[in-house]
Amino acid sequence: MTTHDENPIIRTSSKRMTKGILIVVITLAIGAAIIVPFWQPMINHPPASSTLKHEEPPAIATGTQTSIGVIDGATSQQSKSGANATAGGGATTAAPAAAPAAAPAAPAGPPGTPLTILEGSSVQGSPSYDPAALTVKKGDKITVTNKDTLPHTVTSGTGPTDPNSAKQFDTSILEAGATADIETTNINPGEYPFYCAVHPYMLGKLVVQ
Amino acid sequence: MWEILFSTHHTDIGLLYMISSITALMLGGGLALALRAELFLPGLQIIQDPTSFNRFFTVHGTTMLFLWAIPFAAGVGNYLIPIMVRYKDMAWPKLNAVAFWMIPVGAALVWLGFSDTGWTAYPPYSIIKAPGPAAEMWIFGLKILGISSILGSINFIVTILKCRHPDLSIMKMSLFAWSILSISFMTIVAVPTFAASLIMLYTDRLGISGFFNPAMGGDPIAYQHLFWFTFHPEVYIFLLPAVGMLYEIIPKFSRKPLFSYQSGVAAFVLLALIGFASWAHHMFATGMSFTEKTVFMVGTLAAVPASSMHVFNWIATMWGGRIKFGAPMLFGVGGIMLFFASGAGGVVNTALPLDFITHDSYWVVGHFHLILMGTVSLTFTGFIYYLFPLITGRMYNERAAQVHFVLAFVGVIFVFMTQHLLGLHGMPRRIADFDGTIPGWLIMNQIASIGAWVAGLSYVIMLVNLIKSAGTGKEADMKDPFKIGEEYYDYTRREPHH
Repeated sequence: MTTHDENPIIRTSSKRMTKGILIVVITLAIGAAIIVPFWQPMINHPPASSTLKHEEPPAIATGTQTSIGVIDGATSQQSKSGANATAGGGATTAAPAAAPAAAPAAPAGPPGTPLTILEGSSVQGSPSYDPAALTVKKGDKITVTNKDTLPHTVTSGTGPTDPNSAKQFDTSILEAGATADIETTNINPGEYPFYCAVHPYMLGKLVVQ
Repeated sequence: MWEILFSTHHTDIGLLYMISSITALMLGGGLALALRAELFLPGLQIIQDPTSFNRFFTVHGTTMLFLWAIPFAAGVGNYLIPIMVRYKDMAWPKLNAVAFWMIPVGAALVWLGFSDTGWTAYPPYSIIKAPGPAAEMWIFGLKILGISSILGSINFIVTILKCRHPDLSIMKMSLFAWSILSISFMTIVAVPTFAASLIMLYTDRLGISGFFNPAMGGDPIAYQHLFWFTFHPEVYIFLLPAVGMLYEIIPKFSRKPLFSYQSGVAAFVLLALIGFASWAHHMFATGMSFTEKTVFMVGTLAAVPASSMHVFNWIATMWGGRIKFGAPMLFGVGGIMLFFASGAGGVVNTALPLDFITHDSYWVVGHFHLILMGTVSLTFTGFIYYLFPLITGRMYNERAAQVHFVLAFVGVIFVFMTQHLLGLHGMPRRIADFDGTIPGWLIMNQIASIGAWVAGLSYVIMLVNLIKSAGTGKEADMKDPFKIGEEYYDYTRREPHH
């Protein structure tokens, strides 16, 4: 042990050096002997916070909207669809006539031609849009309902690489259970393929007459 | 070795710091080589699952930063600060020993757990998903290492400010002492923020709080602010000791007095202040407002003049000097060159629009490794050689040290310059596998891996050289071991006072 009075330079010998290295190596070997058998057990326990139950948001109304009505479930401010929550918030004041559709995506007014996103459509290969080829007259309204448990969209175009994707119509993200309207007033007659921006293998076709 | 384990003398503690940090360098380097071996070819060969890959790079980063860079600087500081301020020991020898002995404990927690959060431990992954007990062990390991560096810093500040010899004014003190003084102040200001956020991270993991948990109304971005408020200054805490060491090496090996002492001091103080004005440049992609981004961009660029003052000072000192390229000088000059390169890369990063191209890509990996490995570690390595006669009383093998330098320098350039390019070709960081069909990725990854192995080999040469020379090397002339006609450190010049 070095004291304050002596010169701390120790011209050490090979023997003492070996001893020192042994101390380091043995310490490391003990460490390795613990790490290797416990490699997997050290990451076997998810944190306590991952088992917490969070309040599920209440179910959201699924396109059963009539002209000016209070909708079940859509009154909840916690509803995942911000558009629905806004419309519903007006409805709870018992002044249904004053409840405007706050966002264009919010279904309001009489339901249009139904287009349903089927449950399980996120799995590649299973049927997705019902009907897969929808025919409407120009000016008709289409009400899209997502009956799956995952978010989907109805986006015009053949897929994400289509340069004209979403130029004609796009519902944007529809959470599980949400609905949205597509207005065909500004769409010229013709055939328009559409797809889901989240799952590009979900394909459908819209025919406007 | 055994006899110094229970010592409180500053040289003994300094030696313990250095032994443990060099051990950590070798272990962390081993992990890095495993990571590069995995990335040599697409697909998973060496490391069988991506989770293990994540655990490897997490512990690699944690080891290199907290068990190599910081403890090594503290070790050199322990050796030299009492000599430089001419005091018999550190101000509080026992506190010094306590600060050191926290490091093996923290290291054990980090290494036995092998967490997979990444060294940044960003929520929400680290609080709702990262598996325990590894992540908890990482949190407490870092906590202990943080306390250790705060205790060490307090000790350095008091030693430098209060125990300095009465005849030695602070503006006559060595610039290395100035660098330790500035990083000690930075540590004391910066680290408590991270220490607090570690506790918040832990309670979030327990589910009893939700500071960073979006499901409970928390904000993950808040963690990033707290984290980088500590760790951007920490970058300068890694860098400034290396700068101080260059101020020791360069004038002596150039056989010329330092060009400008005052500008060195001014640059240290400036960097210590500016280090706190740039943390959010790590977070440009998190959706900050344009004003915030501009403020932090300017704050980051403000570090350029101060860094340039240092570089200018070194070049002006070398200019016209009779330079002797011993191993410490080689590493020093190599470090300066790579400091320049990584600084230029940093200016690209901090430019707002370019940051979005380089964000989270291998460019970033290349950039920070170039500063930490290229500048900090190469300079530290040079300083290992420079202090070797002081510590052991013997000389290392100069030829082996020069081979080490050439291999390390070439290896570093191969790995990290290539990684800059890889980033521009779009390779994201922290991936265990990559698509070999993308043009350029395969060959650049292989160049980087070969460079890493060359650098790894060079450090094996160093280790063998040091061990062999410490036992059997020829005895050094303690007045001037490098035969450069400049004075070397002298224990006996201290005049204890009270």
